[in-house]
Amino acid sequence: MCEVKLKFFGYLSDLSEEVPTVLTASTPTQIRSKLAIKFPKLASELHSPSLLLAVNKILVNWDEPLSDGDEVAFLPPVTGG
Amino acid sequence: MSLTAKQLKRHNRHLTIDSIGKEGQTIFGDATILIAGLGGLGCPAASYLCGAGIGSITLCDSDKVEISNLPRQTLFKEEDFGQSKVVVAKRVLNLMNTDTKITIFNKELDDKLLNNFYTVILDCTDNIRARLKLNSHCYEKKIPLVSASATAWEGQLIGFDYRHKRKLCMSCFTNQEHYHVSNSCTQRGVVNSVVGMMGTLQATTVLRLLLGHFDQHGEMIRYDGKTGRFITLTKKPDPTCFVCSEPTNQSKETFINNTNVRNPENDTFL
Ligand SMILES: [Zn+2]
Repeated sequence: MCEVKLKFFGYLSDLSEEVPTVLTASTPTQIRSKLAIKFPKLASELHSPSLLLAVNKILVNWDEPLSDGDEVAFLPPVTGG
Repeated sequence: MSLTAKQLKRHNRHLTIDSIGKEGQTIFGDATILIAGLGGLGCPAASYLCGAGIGSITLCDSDKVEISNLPRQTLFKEEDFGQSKVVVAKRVLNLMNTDTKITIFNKELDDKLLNNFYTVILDCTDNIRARLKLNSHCYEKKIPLVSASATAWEGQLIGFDYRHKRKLCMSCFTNQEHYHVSNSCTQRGVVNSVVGMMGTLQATTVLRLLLGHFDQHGEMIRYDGKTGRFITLTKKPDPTCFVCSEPTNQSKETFINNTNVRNPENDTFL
């Protein structure tokens, strides 16, 4: 388990005002499961297939192993034009 | 082509910049740019590229001007309602700069249009199918692609210089499930100046690509208009990508079929 920083972008930030900025987890999937307990609405948004996930500003998959101090960012899809 | 006396005057503000000068301005004049989608991204991109003295611009969009377009689609006026976007845009751009040749396609993106020659292609569309079609074409023909999008307060831009980089492409950033994402712009709205800024950034990126100053292949720039912050994200190439990796024949066929069929939910350029 590692202590990681969480960042939410776009409309996800509106849903995450009460969410702690630091959490312990070993993968992003685990972060999502933990958030589901207290923040079900946010967690269900995080299940969107087109959501982008970045660890230390590198886009990764949900099973990416995390290290202490990693910054995990969740970004909604931006598709309009 | 060399610059005319009128062009030397007109482009004076570019010519005085060392990294552009007469040589760079001539490169702009020799360029042929395709702008796919004439919505909130395509309008400012077309406007700035025409103003910058790009020699030839092709516009592609099958839509007509609607009242909800006006806040961000800056080439159109109230009197243009119901008219073809590309027809109105050509008229406006011709008034701005008679030296830029404007070619219009009042229809959806197709292979015939794509098979013309372009120096750079701008993805100003609002749906993933069109984006992936442009991507696979640009990758195959080694044409730089500048893709942008915007939803609500957020904008995104990714450029790909397929002339020099063959790993990491637009398709690496997506997955099959993306095909089912409906048009988030209609559902979640878009801030007019945010999408406008992304279109303007696309135009700047084209100029940089033309001058050979582009070193951001596959970097994703995100702008959050609500916080006023930019971030840059990177990605490793997807080893299972249909376009830039070695796919199995079956998966490639599925991919091509998917990009050819247009989802009726996503058929407007915002
Ligand atoms: Zn790829």
